[in-house]
Amino acid sequence: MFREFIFPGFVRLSRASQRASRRTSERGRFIQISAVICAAIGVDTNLTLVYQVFALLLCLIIVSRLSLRVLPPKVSVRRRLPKYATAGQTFEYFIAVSNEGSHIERDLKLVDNPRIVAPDFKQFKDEREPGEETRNAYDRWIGFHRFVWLQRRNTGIVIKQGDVPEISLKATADTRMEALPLRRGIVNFTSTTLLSPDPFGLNFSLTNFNQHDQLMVLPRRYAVSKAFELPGGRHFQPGGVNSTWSIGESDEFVSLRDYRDGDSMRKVHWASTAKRDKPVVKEFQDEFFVRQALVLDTDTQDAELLEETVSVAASLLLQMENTDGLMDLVYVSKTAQIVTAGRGYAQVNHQLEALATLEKCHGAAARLKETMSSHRKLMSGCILVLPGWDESRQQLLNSLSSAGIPTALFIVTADKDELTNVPAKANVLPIHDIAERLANL
Amino acid sequence: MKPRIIQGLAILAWGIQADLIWFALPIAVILEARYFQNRRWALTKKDLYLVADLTSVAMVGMIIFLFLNARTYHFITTLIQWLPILFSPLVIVLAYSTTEKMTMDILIYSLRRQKEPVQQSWDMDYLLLGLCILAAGFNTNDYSLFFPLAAFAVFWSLFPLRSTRYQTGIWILAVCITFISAGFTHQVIREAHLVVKAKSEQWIANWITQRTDPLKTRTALGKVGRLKLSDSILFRIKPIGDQSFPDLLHEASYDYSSTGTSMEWAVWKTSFSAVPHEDDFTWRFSDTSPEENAARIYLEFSRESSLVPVPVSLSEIHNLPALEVKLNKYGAIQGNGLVPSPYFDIKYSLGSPLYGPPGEIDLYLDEEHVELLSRIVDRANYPAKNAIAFIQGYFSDFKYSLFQEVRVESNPLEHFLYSRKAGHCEYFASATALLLRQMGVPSRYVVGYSVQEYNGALGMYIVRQRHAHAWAIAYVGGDWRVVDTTPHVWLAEEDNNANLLQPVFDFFANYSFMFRLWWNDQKIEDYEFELYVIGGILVLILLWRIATSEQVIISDKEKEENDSWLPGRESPFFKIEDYLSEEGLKRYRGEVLRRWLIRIQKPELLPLLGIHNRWRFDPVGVGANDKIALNKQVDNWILSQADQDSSIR
Repeated sequence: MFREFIFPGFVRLSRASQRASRRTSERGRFIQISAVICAAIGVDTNLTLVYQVFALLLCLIIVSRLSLRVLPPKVSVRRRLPKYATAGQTFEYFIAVSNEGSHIERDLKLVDNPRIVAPDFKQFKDEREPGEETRNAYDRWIGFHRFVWLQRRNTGIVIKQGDVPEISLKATADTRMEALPLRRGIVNFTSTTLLSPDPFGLNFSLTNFNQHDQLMVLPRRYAVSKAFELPGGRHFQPGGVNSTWSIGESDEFVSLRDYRDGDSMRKVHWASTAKRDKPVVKEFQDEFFVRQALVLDTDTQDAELLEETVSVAASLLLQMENTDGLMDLVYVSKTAQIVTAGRGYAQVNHQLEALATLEKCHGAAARLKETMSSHRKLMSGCILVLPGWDESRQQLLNSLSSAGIPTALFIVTADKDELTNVPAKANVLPIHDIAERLANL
Repeated sequence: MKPRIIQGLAILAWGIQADLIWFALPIAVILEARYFQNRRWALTKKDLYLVADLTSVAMVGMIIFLFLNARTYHFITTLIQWLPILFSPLVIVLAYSTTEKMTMDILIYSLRRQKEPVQQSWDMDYLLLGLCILAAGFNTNDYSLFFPLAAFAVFWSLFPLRSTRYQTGIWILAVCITFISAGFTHQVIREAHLVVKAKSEQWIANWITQRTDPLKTRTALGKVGRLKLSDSILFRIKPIGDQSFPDLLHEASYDYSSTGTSMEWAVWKTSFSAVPHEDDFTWRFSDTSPEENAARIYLEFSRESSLVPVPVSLSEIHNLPALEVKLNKYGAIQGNGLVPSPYFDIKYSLGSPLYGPPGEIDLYLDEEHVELLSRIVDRANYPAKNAIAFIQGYFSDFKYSLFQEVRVESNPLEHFLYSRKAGHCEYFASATALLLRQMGVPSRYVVGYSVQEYNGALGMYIVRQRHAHAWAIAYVGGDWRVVDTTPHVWLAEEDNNANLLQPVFDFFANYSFMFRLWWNDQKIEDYEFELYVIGGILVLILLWRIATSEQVIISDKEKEENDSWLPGRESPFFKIEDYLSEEGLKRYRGEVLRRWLIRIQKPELLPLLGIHNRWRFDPVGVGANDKIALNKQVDNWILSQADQDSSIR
């Protein structure tokens, strides 16, 4: 009740503290704190002269604030984002700053503003900050740290302040920005703020430039052991790559060549034989290649478990990128989705994009079973990535096995000991141990 | 870049101000010497934690030391004045280590457990500078120099950190504005404080009973509820010779009473006269008589100016360090400029030499009182010599009570005398003094302490806050006599009201008192050997740590890059590039000259660039005439630009 009452205050407090921290430099804060201490200690002007230092620091702060109006910067900014970033991996991008004024611009700083997504009270109530139990009782009761953590995670990115290099007249300089995406999905950028200091370097004036952008953050990936081999061998793909979905025995025509002893008469190309005056045969080649599916179940309430499951799927997909075959990513969002990559179809990036925006889905296993029953004829092997293990997932595995599709099973779990009746061949990946397990498959 | 010299100067300035120059000098020298040698120690976090812990231990030791040796504000001011010394080991170690800034976990113990690395960090040099300014500010003697010196230190340390966005002139202007406005502001603060202080003191004085005021006292007469005084020990008395000591310790007496809801006693003549003294420690009140008694009073004054509680038959005070001691005709002894010291000695004899002879005001009664008291006895209708016996008889059936059930709005004395017939010592003393006057005996109202509790273990009398007492004195037979009509049960009653845990508190209070006595007797000279041993061991540990630590030699300033050989570097065209760069039209790194000229819209320079490029890159080279021509054209162009600039300005 009390927390519900103070919760709106958290939003305002975090905004105000962000604004205050931008307006004041580190040494500015040092001066401010010193002024407060001097005010407290120097109350008795008979006892100490510290009140004189307080007066000095106070005037310093006031003069520094007033002098911010002296030389406002005249610049324009333009952000250049990369196409993709990866959750949990720092990346760089650039913001071009053009000098449009009549002075050389020096000592400016840039702060990029992603859209801040504050948690709602329900999310605040339901989720727990990792390591929250180590905080003191007061912090646990108030929960401001949890709020800050949730807000950071929802916003999805942490961007360091960038130093703008010196910009001469009519010139443009690139400011290097460093950012760390915290989660997969789309991150929205709303604006860029330019900080211009006062002569003492204590305070900054803020200038906002609106520029909306989006960045696709792909899921975090782990290194997968090179020794890991996909289940199932090559399959004859009737009709080759481009007509994989066509039905019937239509061998691919490759070329014409001279007749060799033993060639079937049926293969003689009569028109060419007549033209060349010697037997010429048609050459055919059957298409054999691997077509596999990565089937991803997203039915879990545990946010961290879902993230790790998606990461495992992404890591496995990336591992397959080099194999000479087709890979179907099968998952359920509103409807069952199949994204195929390889051999001239889409690229693995498209699958990662699909994974980046994936959300949890209740009852996914049953619908995956349905989808796979119609799709299994084409499959030479299958990788099942599951967040946990239960009856419906057992049925999904059974349906694949009964169709004779060799299946590799990956079960991601928060608690290894909770799993029961797990098939012996399953790869169980406890969430804090995934990197090692995948590297040693 | 850090500002050099300023730290050293600030520490020296603090050392001079705080009279700690022999501590300040080595610290300043060590801190500044780091700029002249390039050896640094690669200390780990653990080493720094160790130094920080040492600082904390020193701080705690310092606090205990000061707590035992000084009181209240002396304690805090001395602690703050010593802060730069306490923090100097940490600052010096950081200065000579490869760690530039001190992260917060070094100082704050709880942060050391945190898993994530602590981001927030302080530059210890600035912290020490701040501490020096703070510490120097606690010496108010050198009033005029402090502000300019502090401002100088602040601005000097801000100078290297200034923003390159502004010209230095603007920075200096900002500094001047800040300095002047701050000078004005601090004077305003000072004046405002003085005004507020004067007002608030007046206000507080009107509201709070101040027992220690020699000029007036406000009684708790008529106040409702339980009057509860604390058990805390105020002072101890050790009689020299036998155990006897006067029952009452006088602090001040008053002769003028006023009526009202709470009765106030004041003095008619407020003048004090200085007590003659032989040195700053010995004060004489009367000529020594042969049968003189002596005692030592263990009372450490926490204020600079305070009343001294003494037996009324005092003849001399010894070992009381004060600038002056004054006495008024009512026997109040006020010490001014008292220096904290654990005890003072007194000599006393018989009689009451401190009280001056009675005057008219000692018989004064206002009409309200006359009317009130005439119900007991008619004015001047009773023989004065029997007055004391009469009064003691009158109060014999009165009861002692610390509890007042109802608030008495109009006249508490009337309520006490006629309806309640119970009260605490202030009631009895006031009523007695007034009754004596009603009967024609000069009288005064006295406040002080009752000396009753003897502690055999200490061999001393203990005086607690609840032993504070009030009584009357009557001038009978050429001398002042004590008339204490408060029922004798009052002490027993007070003892009954004592806290259950009082023995526990007393135990600790007495031991801390004995420790302080012992501590006070210790001299540093007695422990020279031990101190040298400890110091020697510490130095050995330090030397061992230094010898075994990893060391790094920091490189000298990066040598300026040698100008690499550039073909045709004597071409005058470079002058144009330099000129334009100064004007803010800098060429990007790797930008071709031609593209640059087009970007900055100087197409008129393209023909010159052609010659320049031939000069530099054409294997045949350019002729001498062309070179001269290019030189001329470049100079002309720069001159014309400069003219344009000046005409624009």
